[in-house]
Amino acid sequence: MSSSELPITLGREHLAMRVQSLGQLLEEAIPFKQVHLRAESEPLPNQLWRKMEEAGWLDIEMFHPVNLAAVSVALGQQGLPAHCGEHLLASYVLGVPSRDDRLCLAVVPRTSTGRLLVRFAAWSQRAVIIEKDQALAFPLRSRSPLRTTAGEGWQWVGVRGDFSTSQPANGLVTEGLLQLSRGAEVYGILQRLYTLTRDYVRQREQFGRPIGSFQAVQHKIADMIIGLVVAESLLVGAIVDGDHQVARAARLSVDSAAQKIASDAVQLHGALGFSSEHPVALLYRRAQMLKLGHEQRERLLSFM
Amino acid sequence: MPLPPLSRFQTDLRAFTKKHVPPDYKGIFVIDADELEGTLEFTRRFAKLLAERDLLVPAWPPEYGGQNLPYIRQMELAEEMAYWYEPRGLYYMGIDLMGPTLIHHGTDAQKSQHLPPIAHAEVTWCQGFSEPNAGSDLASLKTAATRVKGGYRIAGQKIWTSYAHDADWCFVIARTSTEARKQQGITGFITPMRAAGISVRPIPASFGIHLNEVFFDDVFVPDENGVGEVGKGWEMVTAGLDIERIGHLWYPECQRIVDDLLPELSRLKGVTRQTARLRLAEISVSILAARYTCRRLYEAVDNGSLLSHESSAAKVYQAELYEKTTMTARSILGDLGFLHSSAGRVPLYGHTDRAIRFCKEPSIAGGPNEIQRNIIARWGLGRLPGS
Repeated sequence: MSSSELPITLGREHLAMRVQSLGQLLEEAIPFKQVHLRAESEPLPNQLWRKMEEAGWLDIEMFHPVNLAAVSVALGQQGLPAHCGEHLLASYVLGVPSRDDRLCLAVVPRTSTGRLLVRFAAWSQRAVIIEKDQALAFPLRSRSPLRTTAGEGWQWVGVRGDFSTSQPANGLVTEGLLQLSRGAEVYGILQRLYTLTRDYVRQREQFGRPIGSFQAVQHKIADMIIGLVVAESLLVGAIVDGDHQVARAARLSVDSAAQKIASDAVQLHGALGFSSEHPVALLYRRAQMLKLGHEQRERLLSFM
Repeated sequence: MPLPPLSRFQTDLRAFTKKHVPPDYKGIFVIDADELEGTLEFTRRFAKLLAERDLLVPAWPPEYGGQNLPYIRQMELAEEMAYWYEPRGLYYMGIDLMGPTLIHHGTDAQKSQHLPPIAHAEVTWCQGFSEPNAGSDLASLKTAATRVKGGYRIAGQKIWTSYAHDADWCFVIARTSTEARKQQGITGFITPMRAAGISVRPIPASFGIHLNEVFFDDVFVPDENGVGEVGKGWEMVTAGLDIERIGHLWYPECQRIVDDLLPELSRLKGVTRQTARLRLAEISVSILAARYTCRRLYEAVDNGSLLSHESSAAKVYQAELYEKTTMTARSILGDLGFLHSSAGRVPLYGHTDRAIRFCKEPSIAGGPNEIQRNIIARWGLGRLPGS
C-alpha cells in the first residue's frame, strides 16, 4: 500500500502502522541482515531513496509530522541513515524540490547567531549547488558508517537567516520537525537494539540456562523498555499536539535513553557486540553518532 | 509555571485549588505529630469542598457521585492535587485505590454502600496488603480467613499500612485456601476499622505519622463483605495495583519543586547558577516525559487497554524522577533546604526537608522498583527456564 493512500490520522497506532509499512519496503530493498555487512564499504544505492519516493514517502505534498517521524523511525530501525527526513525538511526550508536527490543533510539552527547551518552530502558524484547567494559550502570527511557519498564526504552549508521558526507545518515549526525527525531516528535505532538484545538473551545459554533468566540481565532489559515507553510517549505527544517544545523534549529524552540502551545492548551481547559481523556494532556506532553534543544539548535545554 | 492545563475542566479546577489551598500547605505524606490534627482537619474541609462540586471522582458513574467524565479527567485532578501536595489528604486512598476495585469487582450492594461516601469525602480507607513476611513477595501472605457460619474470621498481621490510624475502613486480603499455588486462595474483604479484634500500632518513621501495623485477632467479616470471587483476590489486587501505580502522580510535585526553586537561583552566581538552571531543565524534560506517558496510560484505562508493564514503567520512571528532583533541590539550596518553616520566609516553605525524608518512599510503596523491573522484563522476555 502506498503511504499516500493512508489518511493522515494521529496517534501511537498510526505511527506504528506507518513504520511497519515502510519497514517492509526497506527490508525488500536492503535486508537488515545485510546492512551492517556493507557499512564500511559501499555507499547506499540511490535506488533506495527512489523507491521511497515512488511509494510517496518523500513527497513534500504529503508532508506531515507523523510521516516524517515514521520515515525516521523505520530508517533508524533498519540501521540506515535517516537523512531523507532531513532532506525533506531542508527542501522545505530552502525551497529546493524534494526530488533533487543531491540534497541530504542535517539542519542545525543556530539561534545565537541567527543562522541556519545545513549539513548535506551529494548522493551523486557531483558537487552540491545551493541557489542562495548567502550559501557557503565546504567539504568535510566523515567517519560515518554507511556514508551516503561515493567519494566527496560531507558538505556543510551555511545559510543566513533564522529558519528556526519559519514555515509552520501542521503546528510544528521547522526546528521542532527537525528534533522530531532526529529523535525518531534514534528511537528506531534503540528499538532495534532492544529487540536484538531481547532475542539474544532469551536464546544465549551460559551456566546451563538462558542468560535472560538472570535478574541482573532482566533489569537491564527492563530499563531498555522503560526508556522506550517514555520516549515513545513524547514522540507521539509531539505529533499529536504539534508542539515544538514537546518535540525538543522528545529529542532530549531519546538522547538520554540512547546512552544506556546502546551501552547495555553491547554489554549483553558480550564480545559479539563489537564484532563487525553483528548488527549491534553498527547500531551502537550510529546511536553514538547521533548523540547530542554538549553544546547542542545545552542549547535545547535552554528552551525548557 | 505549573504544566499547561489540558482542558477547561483542569483550568477551573486549578483556579479553585489555588483559591483554597494556602501556598505553605505541605501535604500529608510527611506529618509530624504536632501537625497531625490541624493538617487532617484542613484536608477534611478541602475534600468536602471538592465533593460538593462533584469534583472528587469526576470519572465515576453519576449514581455513585461522579460525572461520568473520561478517565483522563481523573488524571487532571490527580495532577492538580499532587502539585499542591495532595490537599485531599487521606481521601485519595479511597478515590484512587478502593473506588476502582469496587467499581470493577464489587457487588451492587457494596457499590451503593461504599462508593457514594467515598465520592462525598465522608470516609477514609486503608489497604491491608503487606505482611511482615510478605512484602515484595506479596502472594506469600499468611493472614488467614477461616470459614465460619455467615462469613469468615480473619487472623493475622498486616504492616506498613498507610494511614490505618485514621481510616474508617480497610480493604484487607487474606488466605482462604492453602491448597493450590500461593497466588490462588487469596480473597479480598472489606472491614470497618472499628470492628472487634482490630488493633493498630503506629510505626514511627522518618517521615512522621503515616505507617502502622494492623493486627487482626479473629475479626468476623460477614459474607456480604467479601470482594470479588473467593480465591481470586490475587488477580483483582494485581489489576488494582496497575491503576494504583499511576493513581498518585509524582511528576506534578516535581514541577512544583522546580517552580519554587527558580526564584532561589538568583542567589547563585555565574557558572553555579547556569549549572543549576541546566539541571532544572533536565528535570523539566523528564516531567514532560512522565506526563505524556501517564496521559497515554490514563487513556488506556478509559478503553480498557492498560498494560501492566507500562504502568510499572511509569511508576519506576516517576519514582526515580522524584528522588532526583528532591536531591537537586537539596544541592541547589544547600543547608537552606533544612530550615524549618517556622523560621520565617524559607525556600519552598520548608518543603525540601520533607521531600528528602520522603523521597525514597515512591520507589518502595506499591511494589518496589525491583519488582516493577521484574514485571517489565517478564513482559519483554516471557518466562525463561531457570528464572
